[in-house]
Amino acid sequence: MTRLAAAVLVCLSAALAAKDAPQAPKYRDFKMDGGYFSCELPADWQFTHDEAYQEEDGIYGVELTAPKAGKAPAVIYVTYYAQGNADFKDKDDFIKRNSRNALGETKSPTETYGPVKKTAVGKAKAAAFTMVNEEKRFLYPESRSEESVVMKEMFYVVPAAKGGGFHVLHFSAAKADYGKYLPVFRRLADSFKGV
Amino acid sequence: MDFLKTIRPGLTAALLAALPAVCAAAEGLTEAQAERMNAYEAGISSANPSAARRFLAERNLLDKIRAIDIERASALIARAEALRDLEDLFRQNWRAADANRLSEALEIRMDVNKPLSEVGVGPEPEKLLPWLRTYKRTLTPELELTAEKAIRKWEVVFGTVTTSFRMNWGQAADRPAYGIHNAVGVNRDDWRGWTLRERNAVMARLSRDPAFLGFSDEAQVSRRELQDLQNAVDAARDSGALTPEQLSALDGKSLQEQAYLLGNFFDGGAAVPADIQARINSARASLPTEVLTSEQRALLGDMLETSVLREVRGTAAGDRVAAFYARDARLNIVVAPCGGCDSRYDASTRSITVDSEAVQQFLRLRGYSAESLMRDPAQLAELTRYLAPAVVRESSHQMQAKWAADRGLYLPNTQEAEIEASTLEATYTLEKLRGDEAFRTLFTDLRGPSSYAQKRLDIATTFEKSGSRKFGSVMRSMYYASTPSLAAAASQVLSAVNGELTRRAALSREERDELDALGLPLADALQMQADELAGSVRDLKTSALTEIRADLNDLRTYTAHYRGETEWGRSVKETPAKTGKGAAVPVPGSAL
Repeated sequence: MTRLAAAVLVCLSAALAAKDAPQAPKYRDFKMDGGYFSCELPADWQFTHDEAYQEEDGIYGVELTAPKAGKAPAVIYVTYYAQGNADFKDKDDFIKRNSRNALGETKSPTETYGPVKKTAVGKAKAAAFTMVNEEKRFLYPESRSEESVVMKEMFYVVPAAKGGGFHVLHFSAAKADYGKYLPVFRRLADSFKGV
Repeated sequence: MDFLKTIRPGLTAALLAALPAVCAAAEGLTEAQAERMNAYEAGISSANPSAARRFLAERNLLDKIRAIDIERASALIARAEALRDLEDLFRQNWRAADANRLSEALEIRMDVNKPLSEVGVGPEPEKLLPWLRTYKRTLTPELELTAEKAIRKWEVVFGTVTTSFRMNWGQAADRPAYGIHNAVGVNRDDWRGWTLRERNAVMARLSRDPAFLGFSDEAQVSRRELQDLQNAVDAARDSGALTPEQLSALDGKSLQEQAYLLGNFFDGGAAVPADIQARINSARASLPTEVLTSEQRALLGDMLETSVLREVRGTAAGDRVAAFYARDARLNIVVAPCGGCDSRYDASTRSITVDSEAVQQFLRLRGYSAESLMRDPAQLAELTRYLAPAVVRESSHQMQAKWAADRGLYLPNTQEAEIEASTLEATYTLEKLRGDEAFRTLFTDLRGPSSYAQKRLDIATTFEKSGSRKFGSVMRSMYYASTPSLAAAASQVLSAVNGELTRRAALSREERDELDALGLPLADALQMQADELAGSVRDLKTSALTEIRADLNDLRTYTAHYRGETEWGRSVKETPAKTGKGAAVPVPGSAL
């Protein structure tokens, strides 16, 4: 009888714990038009795929916004930059421009640009570069308001195996939310497969 | 289902009224299309966002119904866009701490004359709650509470109090000593009939009271800034750099008075650390010598008109601005209080206002006086250098206005317009940072105490990092989430214009002639922002309404213009900077 009561208690507490635990986010498979990349996307994040001018620009990407809207949203961008794309000469140009501020500094009173490191990304463990930056940003660029938020971001820059382009996986969130959403970005990156 | 019950009578009436029109329209539609149209109309009339999304995805059908019945098509599209937009807004799971931002976002969507109100989601804010319960699949108790706070539900703001309270509002005030009892009375029943805009206007005043501080992010920031100033004043007092006489002069004074006196002491040579001085100088009131008189402001505006054009030349963005003012318009700069902004373009007077407080803050930070600024060309050149990015930005808005005026197009202020202006500003700032050492030094020196300077650097950095394609997306989500997109603004105006044209169609010829005789012409309508225009449709001539509807029914002219600007920004970035060599960033291995 004691054993039965204990078993009931164990089951009950497990059930209660399961009810209280935050629900694991659901994911869906996504494959970019043209087969430029595929990955798992968090199903409850707002999905945007702006197809206008993507062919002309040679830039194919999706944007995901977290299901929480603070003063600054948590966002993930997954983008393929084809060779000869309209915005970045190559991956080195991208890395250079995303590793410092407009003054060319890697550290300023409001910004810290982490060192660029080698890493591996995705199912195929593709060779990549990564960096983590922090930036304080004022929310109202034209007003006298000084309301600001500290943003933290992580990049994976993955050279394409063929075609000469590169992929960028970019996660950006308010520093206070960064840790909360980082597992979502990690899962997306782990499932990533580029051309 | 409460929501559906609430709107059922209206829905039935709308459907009955719609039937003949749909039948008439059906002449050009296949049977299947006509059936789908009926279903879409019913769905959209009941504020169903899924129906709205499906409808907007039917491009062929949309083209067809536009050709058959433009009024009906425009009204439906406007409502469908508004529903899709509202659903997108609530795809984000707002937390209680974000309620004020949510309130701002809802305020511009749920006002009178907005498409959402036509489908039963507004203008009374409480109508949002049944809509959420019906259509938001994952409505958590936390989100519901956040929404209740965002719509300023009486019970959330005032608790269980139901009796009215009185609030002084300008001339409407209680002055018992004079026997005057004119204050505004607020009670629960009146509150229920108010729009969110009206409620927020009240909350803005109430938030001065600590009990209501949580209902205004702005008030909370002001309080934080005050605390920062207090900390800086305390640090100055504790620095050991002030004489006993100076310290005793500060005793018993208000915080602003202490900061003001400290500014005087710094001028007199008090050796308080520079960072503390900068924090106090940035936040304190101006000394009499740092205040610009109205004559000085007028003169400074005239001087800036010449000096800014000289300053910006030699950069791609600046040359474009200079060419515009040489050929298409006159640069008219006004130095005046800007109502909380650093600068703005005023379309009605075709002038750029530069905030006089921003100028005075510059004088405090550089240790200049109003008089020395007028006398010394070097000080004026420095101020010009400091203000030029803002003037370049505002000139973009003037160029946009000219572009639209040349084509007779209605052009509301939208996210796209702000992205275009930000692109021009960012390309200018980047070029100057790379090629002009004095510019670079000035902004590096001032970025700490002047948020204006730091913001200019931030926009330039964001543009450089993002590339032209992603820049727009970052600007929308980070800075201009509460500004309507082109599609949203067009939807709002179209809805109002269509409603009015439909109403006029039912009037007698005499009534229509009278409206047209007394109505405002197109030129006046073109000056209005989307909100104002949507609220003024009854005051406009029919020809003006028809013209605006034609403009907004096909947004391709606008999108082609904005695309052209994106490509221009990109072409500037591809031009190598004259002296551009930033610090080398170590990248491990150029190839993997």
